[in-house]
Formats: sequence, structure tokens, C-alpha cells
Amino acid sequence: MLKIQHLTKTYGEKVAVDDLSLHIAPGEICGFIGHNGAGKTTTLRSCCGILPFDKGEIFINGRSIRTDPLGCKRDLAYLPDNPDLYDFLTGQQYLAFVADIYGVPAADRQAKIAHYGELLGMTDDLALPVSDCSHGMKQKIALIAALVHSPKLILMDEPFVGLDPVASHQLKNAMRQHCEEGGAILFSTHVLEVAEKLCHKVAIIKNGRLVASGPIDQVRGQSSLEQVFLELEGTR
Amino acid sequence: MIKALLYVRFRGLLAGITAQARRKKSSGKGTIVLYAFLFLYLGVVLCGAVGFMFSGLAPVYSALGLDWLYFALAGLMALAFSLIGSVFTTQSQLYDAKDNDLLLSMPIPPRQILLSRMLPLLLLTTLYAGALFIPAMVVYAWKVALSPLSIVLQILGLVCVILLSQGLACLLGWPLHLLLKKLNKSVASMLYLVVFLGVYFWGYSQSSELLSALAAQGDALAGTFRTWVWPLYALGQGCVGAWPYMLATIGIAVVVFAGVYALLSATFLSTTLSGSRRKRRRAAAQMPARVHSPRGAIVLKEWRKFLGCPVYLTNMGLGIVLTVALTVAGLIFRGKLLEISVLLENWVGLIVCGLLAFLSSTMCISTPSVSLEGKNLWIVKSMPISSRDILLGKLAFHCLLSAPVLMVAGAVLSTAYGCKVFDILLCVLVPGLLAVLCGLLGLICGLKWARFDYLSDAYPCKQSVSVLVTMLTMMYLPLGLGLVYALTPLRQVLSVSAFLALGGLVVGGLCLAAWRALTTWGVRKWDSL
Repeated sequence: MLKIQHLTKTYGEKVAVDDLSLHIAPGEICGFIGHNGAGKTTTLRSCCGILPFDKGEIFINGRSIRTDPLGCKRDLAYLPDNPDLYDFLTGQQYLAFVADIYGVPAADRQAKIAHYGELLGMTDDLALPVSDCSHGMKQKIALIAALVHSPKLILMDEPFVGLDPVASHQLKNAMRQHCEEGGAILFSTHVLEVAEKLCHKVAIIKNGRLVASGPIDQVRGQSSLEQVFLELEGTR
Repeated sequence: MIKALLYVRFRGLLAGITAQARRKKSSGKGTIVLYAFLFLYLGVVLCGAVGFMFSGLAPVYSALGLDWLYFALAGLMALAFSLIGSVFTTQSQLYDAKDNDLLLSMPIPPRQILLSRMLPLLLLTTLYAGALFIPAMVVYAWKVALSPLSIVLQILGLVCVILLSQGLACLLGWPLHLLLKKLNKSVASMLYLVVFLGVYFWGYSQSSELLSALAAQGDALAGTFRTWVWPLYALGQGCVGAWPYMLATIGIAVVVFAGVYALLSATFLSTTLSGSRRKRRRAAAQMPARVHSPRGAIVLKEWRKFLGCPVYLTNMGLGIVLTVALTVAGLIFRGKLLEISVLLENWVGLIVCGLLAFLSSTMCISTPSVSLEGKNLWIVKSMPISSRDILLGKLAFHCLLSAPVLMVAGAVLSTAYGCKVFDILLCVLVPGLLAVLCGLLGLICGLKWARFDYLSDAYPCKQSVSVLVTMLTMMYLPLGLGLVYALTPLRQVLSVSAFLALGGLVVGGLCLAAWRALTTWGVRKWDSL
């Protein structure tokens, strides 16, 4: 579903992502772990076509993000770490905008928004202007927007930040369900317990380089993910 | 503590003015000098205009022995001007301040927070009131009398006006705050601007009659002041030497200001807390049933942004209101203007197009739309919509808003002033093409000088190079074409209608060139943002 090959991205002199390769198959949830400034967000933004990169290739469902960005974007959804949505729209209007761009039929969008709105406890709040919403509520609206067009691949940057425990739980369920239906997810997180419980795979990035990746059991071995991460970071 | 609060407040004000300069270090000093020059220029122009107005009143009232009325009127005008100028700032600084929550969470007494907000406002009010009252003082000293005592008294009078104005602005700020919470802010701002400009232009057109009336009806006016607005009567008397009246005025001003300060201090916590409580419009969420095409969705989004951003609406939408106003005025004063238009013979079509061309330059709706994406740019960039469609959606929105108004105005005015059918057709087509060119050029300039690191939406709408270039180009291009025709032998070769048609072709050609640039270079530039 997602194939990243030798991705390199530099900002002037600084190498943000260095020769990173990663493969996520349909049905997999992959946790993307690393310290602040390790290159997680740069990788995710490159994968969804927001950020041009210097070297390497990214394939979404067999299509190159370089040569067929629109085809790739139809198959993916991106959830940034700080969901800056249009302040001048209400939640409903924002979701209608997203559904219009993705060409989601009226009946389908209504059913999906009703379902996810109910699931995340947002049904009534969708009538509010985005400017009146808290960080968590914006996060939920962005999440519904990400799910409304049934993407095959979801890229999430710190999706659990700002969510209440119930919404976090519902999000985990929704992520699992998405993958059971054949979708794939790559999400960055600092909460290693979440990654440990939720992910089939993990990828650990340090200073732009992938230092470990693979099935969760294989990466952590007999210890915990936290221990592995700290050892790789050189703090133990 | 108050020092620290004032330091933060003034640093904030300074940062707002010099943010752009700091980002562009090389042009920092130049920008500050430019701002200083602009402020100086505005000050000189305003004070000059006010001084000119008062120079007609001072000798007349002095001759009638109504010197006090002169200062009472100056006080009234200064009070009104500073109140109009500062009430919105007062409302936003006192009741809508973003750092109220932060400051209230610290061990700072609310009255000190309030004072730290009111002192910079007092400075603003001083600027407004001084712009009216100081020229009146200078004119009086120049035309009537000058003595050290009168200067001291008049300065005290100005201080009283400032305190009264600030007190009233604080009081009016609260109902205004409640009103703005209920109204659409953008629409309210637009209404305020239209009403303000309407009153300004009406006052300007009637200024000579008003001044004559003020000069002729001095006695009646004096009676009204004495009976109905005693504080202003006392101010006037105080400014011309009556100490007891000046003491009474100072007493009134101090009581009003201190009373308002005490009232606000006592209620500051409750008013700001109720202000920060979010208005929850909980309603059963029902999706809008209408489905749009991707480009239609972009147009709808741009429309909502336009309506939802007061500074965007008032700066770029004012041209639309002015076009409608011009058309209505053209119809109302048709009788008078027809007498002139007869003299102009077949130039009417060209003049109508020229006026509409000027107005089209004030509708740079598409120009700030690129920078206004700001921190939301990731949304459209991560969606399966091509850059070309996004840019054309923005162009379509610009054209949908500006072209019909200009075209209808062209049709109505050219028909009302007796143009021939061919000229009417040109008066519809040429403004329409100008609207398209303005949209295309605006997008190209918006892309060329796109900025996403601004602090307020006012930057891309009011202070950006892109808006300036688009506006000036759209203003001077038709003017240049018109001058070429009017001042060269081209007049002997081409009729006015033929020149207008040629002008239309030139504008059409520029539209094609700009379209090509937008769909090639523009798309690449958008992708690189």
C-alpha cells in the first residue's frame, strides 16, 4: 500500500530525512517513532504530496506520488499534528468541502459523517464554527474528514494528542476496523504503549535515518518497545 | 507590576508595526522611515483640512463675542472624531483581548490589567482628539488672540475632551461588544465603513453650506449649547479664560473617567469571563444536501472566507459597494448630469468605462486569496485537486463577484446617458474583461509575492506588495490607454467607439497572456509553495 524507497529530504544544509525506506502492506498499522525533529513529520508530509523531496520515490497503492500526485491523493488521507482547519467554516461545512473535493456522493457522506460523528461524540458540535472548537474537537473534525472518503491509506501525525480517553479509544477501534477492511495506516506517535498495543509494525527514526523497522514482536524482542527505543536513542 | 504590563502592551503595539521590518532586516529601517513619513503625511493633511475649516469660524464667532462657542464646537468635533475612531479599538482591547485569560490566571489585580489596557487607548484617543482640537487652538491663536494663560486653559480643555472621550468609548464598547457577538463581524464592519464613508462624503459635499450655517446661526447654536450640553458650554467658557468653568469641566471629565474606570474595575472579571465563554450553537448536525464539483467547492470556500474575514470583505468588497452606489447616484442625478453629458457628445461610453475601470482596480479579490490560505495551505495541498483547478476556482470566485456588478453598471449607465447600441455593448464587455484581467493579474501577483508568516489577515489584504501592484496596474493601465488616445493624433484616426473597441481588444489580449502565465508559471509556483 505504501512503499517508500530511499527517501531523502534536505532543508538547506540540514538533512531531515536520509535514505529512508519503508513498506506497509494492506491491513497493516505501522507506528512511526522518533525523537522531536527526527524527521517523522517531514516523511509523512512527503508521502502525502505536500512536501517535495530531493531523492527517492514514494508509491501509494502502486502509483508514484511524483508522477501521479492526484491519483495518490485520492487513495490517502492525511491528519496533521496540529489540525489547522478553516476557521471561517463550521464543522459541517468543512466536511462538506472535503467530501465535495473527493467526490463523495451525498447519501454516502451523510451516512459516514453521521456514523463517525456519533462515534466520536461530535454530532451536535459539527454545527459550531471551527473557530469555536477546542483542539480536541478540531482533531475529531479532521479525523472525520480523513475517514469520510474511505481512503486506502491514512497518514496520521500524532493523532492521539488532544483527544479525550473515549475518543482515543474510538479512534483505536476505527483504525483497527480500517485495517481489517484492507486499508493501511502509518502514524507517528510518542506514546510507545499505544504503538505497542495497536501496531503490527513499527519504524524507529533517528536524525532522519531509519534505525529499526519491522513487525512489532521482531523489533522489541524480549524487552519492551520503550527499552528498545531508549537503547537506540543511546540514553541507556 | 503596571510597568511590566505597560511594557508588554507597548512591545505588542511596536511588534505589530515593525514585524515586517524585522523579517526583512535589510529594509527594516527604510520601512520604519516610510511608515513615519506616511503617518506624518496623514497628520499634516488632516490637521491642514481641520485648520482650514476652523479658520472660517474663528473670526466670525470672535466678532460676535461667542469665542466660547468656537471652543465648544471644537470640543464637540474632537469628542465625536475620537469616539468614532477609538470605540472599536476600545471594544477589542478591553473586551476581546486574546491575553485576558492568561493575565487573569496570574496574580495581577484586574484593575491593573484594565489600567494597562486603558493607557495605550488613552494615547490613541489623544491622537484623534488632538488632530481636531490642536488645529483649532492654533487657528484661534493665529486669527484671534494668543496668551500664555489661554494656551494653558486650552490644553486643559483638550485633556478634558480626551478623558471624556475615553470614558464614553469604554462605556459604548460594552454594548458594541454584545452587538458584535450577535452580528456577523464582517458584515458589521462593512456596514460601519459604508455608513462612515457615506457620512464623510455627505459632510464633505456639504461642508461649505455647513460652515456658512454654523457661522450664520451662532446665537441660536449658543443657546442650544447653554441649555442642552452644559459640559461643552463650560468647556468653551473655560478655554477662553473663565477659570470656574474650566474647573467644572475638569471635575466632570475626571468624574466620568474615574467613574467608568471604577465601574469597569468592579465588573472586569465578569465581563471578560462572559466574553471568553464560547457561544455554543448546538444543533442537530445535518449535512448540506447539495453536492459541488471540486472547483465549485473551492469557489464556495472562497466565498465563505470572503464573508468570514472582516478585513478581506471591507478592503476588497468596498469597490462592489461603490460601483452600486455610483450606478444609483448616476440614475438619481441623471437630469443634472445629462446636461453635461450632452457637451461630452460621444465620449460618454469612454468615461463610463474609465470610471468602471478605476472601480475594478479596487476589487482585487483574488490577490490576497493565495496568502490567505496561510496555515491552512496543507488542506488543499493534500487533496486530490489539481493546482490549476484551485487557481481557476479562485479566479472564478473573483469574476463571479466583480464582473456582473461592473457589467450591469456599464449597461445601466451607458443606457441611461444615451449611448448608442455599439457603445452600450462595449460598456458591458470592457468592464467585464477588466474584471477578468484584475482577477488574473491579482492571482499572478499573489503567487509572486505570497507570504504565509503574517500576524494578521490585514497584511495580505492591506499591506502586501501584491495588492499594491495589482491595484496600481489596474488603475494606470486604462488611464494610460485613455491618455494615449486623448493626447495623441490617434484621435483624428479613430472614433471614440473604435478606440474603446481597440482598448477592449488590448485588455482581452492581456487576459489571454495572463491566463497563459497563470496556468503555466502560476501552477508551478503554487506547487512550490
